[in-house]
Amino acid sequence: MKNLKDALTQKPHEADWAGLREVREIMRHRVARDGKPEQSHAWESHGVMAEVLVDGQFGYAATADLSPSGLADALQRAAAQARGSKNLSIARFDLKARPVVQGRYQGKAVQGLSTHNPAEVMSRLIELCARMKTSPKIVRTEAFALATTTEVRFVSTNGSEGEQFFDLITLDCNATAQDAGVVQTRTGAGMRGLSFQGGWEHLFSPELTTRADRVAAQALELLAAEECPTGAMDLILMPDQMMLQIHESIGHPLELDRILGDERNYAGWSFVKPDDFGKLQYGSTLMNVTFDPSVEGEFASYAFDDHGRPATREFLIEKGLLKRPLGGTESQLRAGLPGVANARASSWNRAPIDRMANINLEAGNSTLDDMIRSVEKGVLMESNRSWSIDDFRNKFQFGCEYGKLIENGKITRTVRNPNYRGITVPFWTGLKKVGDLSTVGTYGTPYCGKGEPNQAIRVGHRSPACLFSNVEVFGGA
Amino acid sequence: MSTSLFNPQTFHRLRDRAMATLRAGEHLTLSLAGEQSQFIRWTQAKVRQTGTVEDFTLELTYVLENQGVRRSNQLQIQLSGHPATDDMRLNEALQTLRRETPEMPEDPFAVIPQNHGSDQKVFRSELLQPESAAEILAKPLKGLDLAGIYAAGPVVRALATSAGQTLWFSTETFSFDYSLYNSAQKAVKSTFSHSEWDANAYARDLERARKQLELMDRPTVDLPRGEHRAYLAPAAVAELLPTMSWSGFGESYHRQGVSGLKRLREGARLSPLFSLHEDFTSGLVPRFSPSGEIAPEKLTLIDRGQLVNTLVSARSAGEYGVPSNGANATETPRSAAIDSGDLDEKDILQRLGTGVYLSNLHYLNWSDRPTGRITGLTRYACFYVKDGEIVGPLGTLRWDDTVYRMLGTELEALTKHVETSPAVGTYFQRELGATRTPGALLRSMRFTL
Repeated sequence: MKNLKDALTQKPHEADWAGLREVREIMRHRVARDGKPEQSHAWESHGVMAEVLVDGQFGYAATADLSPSGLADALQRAAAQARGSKNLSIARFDLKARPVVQGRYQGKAVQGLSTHNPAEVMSRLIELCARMKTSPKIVRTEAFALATTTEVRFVSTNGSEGEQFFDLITLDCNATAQDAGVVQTRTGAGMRGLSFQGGWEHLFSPELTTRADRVAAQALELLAAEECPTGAMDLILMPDQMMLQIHESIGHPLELDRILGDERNYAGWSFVKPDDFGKLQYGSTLMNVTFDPSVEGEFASYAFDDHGRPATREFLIEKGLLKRPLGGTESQLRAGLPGVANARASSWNRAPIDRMANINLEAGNSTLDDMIRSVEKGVLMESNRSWSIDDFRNKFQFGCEYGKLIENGKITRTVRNPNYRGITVPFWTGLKKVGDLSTVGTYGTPYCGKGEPNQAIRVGHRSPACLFSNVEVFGGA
Repeated sequence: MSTSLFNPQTFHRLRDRAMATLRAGEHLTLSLAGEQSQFIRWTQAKVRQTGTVEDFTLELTYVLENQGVRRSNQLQIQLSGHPATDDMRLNEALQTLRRETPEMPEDPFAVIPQNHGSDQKVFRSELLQPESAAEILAKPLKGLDLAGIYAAGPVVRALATSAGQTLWFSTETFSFDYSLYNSAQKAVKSTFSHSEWDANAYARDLERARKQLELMDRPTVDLPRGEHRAYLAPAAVAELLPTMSWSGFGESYHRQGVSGLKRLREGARLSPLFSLHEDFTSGLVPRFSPSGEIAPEKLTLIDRGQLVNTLVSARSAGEYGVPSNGANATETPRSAAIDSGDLDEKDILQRLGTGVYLSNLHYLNWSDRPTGRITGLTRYACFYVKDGEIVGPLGTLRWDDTVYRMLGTELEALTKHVETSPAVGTYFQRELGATRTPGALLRSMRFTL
């Protein structure tokens, strides 16, 4: 921290404010396929983003040269960037855009990721592959671990001094089965859904072994399953598909920079307007959605965002009514709306923008059995495998790996290639039952993509199982 | 400081330092990736964020061979541009690789580098000065609602192997990827990218987009779901490729049974009008693979509807006993080109007749990968056309259709003209390359919502 604070003394004379955000990240990526090592890769990313405010315009310069002269040069380049655009600013900012933060956050891990033995990790992944190879019809097995240690330090000329430390892990085990021209793949929880703050205890847990066994069994089961039926019917989504539903049709549309139009050229806009907050009935009164950075072990928990705002739990949607956008300090100032502490950057080489963090659907009162019993005709779907939504976040389509037909209140048969499509607000208005705590699952993904230049960032989603009515469901080609 | 990392001599120094330490049985490949970029992000034709990024990384791929048994490991380090710091990081990385790798399980398909020949390509350009770029870009934007990203600066990719090979590719590029909006939130899209800054070409590009935006002022037409005749403009055809490339062309995906185009390997064909190549003749992207192989200048993947080649990496070559063709590790096309057809640009609307004209597509994904089905949306300048005349902009439609229909049974014609869509992705680092695609006239396309 000392070298960062020393470097701030080199703030360009014209600057009203300067900040330095240092990120050091070590990522270890191990993959085994069909019982052999496929990939063993570790990489370190280490640099600083220098940011400067000149006449209301921020400019930044990201550098991996952490020497005193390197940081001083970066501050000068940042100032030049700000200077070159100050007559073209979309908004004139002042120090209110950079609150003062002082504090420290340490994410929890039982077996810290720095206690890393790559051979042991790879052996475990090979073992999981071997467990999944239970039949000649299993033609491909894969086990994956992405372990990341991240250190973030932030100082600024108005007194910020903060540091955060994270251990993050993403796991997967998947199996592909093939027979008589039918191919089915089953994963642990959809693509990279098993994402947590924590350590190697997740990789070596009995729970992952059980999950691998289930993956193999269900991949084979899907070969003999019938196609998912087509029609409008009730739909129960399990938490590892609720994750994508929340992500695409709540998280992204509520990002305030998107509502303000910043993302139009890439990820898109939103059907939500600034005037909708406090007025728009987004979904049924059973729907309660929070931005919650305080959940221990959830993938995107943290103490403060990259603009220095302390992170607190806030309701985004309460009893179905839209309350608050996902907007960090800059967007709040531009829009005149309250927001959350979500200005985050993927690394030192990108500027913070409004991101999801942990976006959670709060538990309700129904057991899974309650939900199933209430369905005359419907499908239960698990584990996302396909996702797509329009640029205003209305028309979506999702595909899942595994489905169960529900008839007259009972689970009857397995179905394969379950898909559904819908439009955001009518879909959430059809939320009929929300699962209780016994149905809750916590997932995440390291690959939420957005921004120009592009950034992939970690997000978390915790949700119960949910029942929706009158959803357009369909099967494979 | 950082400019020294654009000097090949700096890379050669790191190479020589690393290779000098190698012992018997050790094989090493060094891969350098770097950029010195300016990014200016725009909204409402004003600057939202502006900054520079200097980022250089060096990847070490280490293979230890002992009595015929191979073990492999990779480490990537951050380069600072200070020789003492970077030398220390390189030494530590080598020590870590030597400590970890002997304990790793055997990797029978680890690639031992061979010497495929050395080369050096340096492309220079006249780019805008970073301090004045924003003002110059903003000049012709008066009265326009523009959102987009200007990205400019030098990019380098280099590789050196313990077999004695050294490859260097550096280039200076810019792109301005943008969209224009009317008051009803309707938009058109353009990507302006040249080898050198050209103010007149920039003005022409904006004018073309502005004229197209006038069509978006007409009342919106909401079409019912169902099958419609469709014209996909070159940019829309280009947008099919990333999804198709995700598992579609890689030998490893086909062998493992998880390719989205597996039916092509099983005898199915696309339209005889459709031919797709991995084509490096534009010179926009290096031909060398991560293991130093030089890909053919042009490799046909699909020849008149038939899959004739897959992309084979050195690792897949070892695993499946087939020749490598210099593919990258993910076996995805790096410079795809689709052959043109005989449909004149001036005849497109008349040939379309009544249907939809799609300039761009959005958020594509495999909806059923084993059967080659892809879903996506319409976006930007998409129109309803009736009897050869544009009626008005299309309300957003979802489509869900198979590759075997869109580029197979339903492909009626391809245009004579092709357009180059430069790679503008910037996840982790600025992408290189471009795709070249014609427009495609489809007898029918399935719209589902």
